[in-house]
Amino acid sequence: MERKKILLVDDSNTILMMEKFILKNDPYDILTASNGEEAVQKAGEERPDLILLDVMMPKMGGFDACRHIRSNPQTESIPIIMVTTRGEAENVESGWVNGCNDYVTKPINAIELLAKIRNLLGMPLEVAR
Amino acid sequence: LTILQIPVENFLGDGPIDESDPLCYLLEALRREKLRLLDQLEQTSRTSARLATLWAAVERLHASTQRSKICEAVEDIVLNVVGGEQCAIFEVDRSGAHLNLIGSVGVDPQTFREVGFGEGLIGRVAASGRMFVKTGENLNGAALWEETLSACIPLKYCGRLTGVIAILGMQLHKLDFNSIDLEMFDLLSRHAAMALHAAAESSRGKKKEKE
Repeated sequence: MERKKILLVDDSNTILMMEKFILKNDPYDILTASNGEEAVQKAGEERPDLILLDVMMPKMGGFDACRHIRSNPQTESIPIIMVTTRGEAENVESGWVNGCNDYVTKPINAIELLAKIRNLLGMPLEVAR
Repeated sequence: LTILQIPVENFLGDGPIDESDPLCYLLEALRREKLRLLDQLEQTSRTSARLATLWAAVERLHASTQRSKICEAVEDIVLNVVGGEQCAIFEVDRSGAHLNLIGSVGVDPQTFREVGFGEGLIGRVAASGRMFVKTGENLNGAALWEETLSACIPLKYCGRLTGVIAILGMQLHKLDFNSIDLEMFDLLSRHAAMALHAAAESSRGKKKEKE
């Protein structure tokens, strides 16, 4: 079975490491980007199966990156999970408006994140394992 | 329950079960088992998130022997994991009576360039070696420039104070510190000190090689 490719986008190396740690037992190929611009570029070049996108980033934030990815016919259908900060409800609203498929809040709940990724990739638990 | 290969004793929790109706008994037992498993899942998830956070922090702190990179890692952890707004990292100077600023984000470096032991809350943490965590409005003894101080972590290597990390301000969503934050402070206290000590040793070694 083909391995799925996931693009993790965050300007914090610590958060990227945490996300990799959470995903390391599942059969995914992991790519990373540290800002929205790089995310848009990598999404176009690598065509990941899913993008985990932080909201607050330098150069280009998560919402703008989400819009750019959705406006490109080659990347428009890639599922996007926004990573927002707890307590910022307006971020969730903006995420939906800008075309994200789902969201998780920091601190990231590992099981919730894995379930949402598997759901969006159409992978039941047994297949993901 | 026998078919399901689950011992009946597992389900005998709180409350009475109508044992005269086998189906009712089975449903109730399964409901309780589901609740127990959901609770276990939630706890496992929390533990996993906690471990992921602490592991990532340790990896980041020990990924380099360059002092500037270690300071960047501390700042990243404070801002993106703990949820602080500003951060200042100090090292004890040679006299052993002052703290020198070696890294900062969001603060005026001139204001925090040097802090004497016992001066303000940061200086008190250096003098006592005891961590300060703001709870409520307890900023007694704070210097003027410390009015947004949220936490102050002593850096200790082999039991000796080597520096201090000051966290100033908190991001809007962050109302107080949770148990993972406190574990992170403890980790920073030991591992940031260890990483900075390794950086100093590495720097000394390189200088000797050149000589």
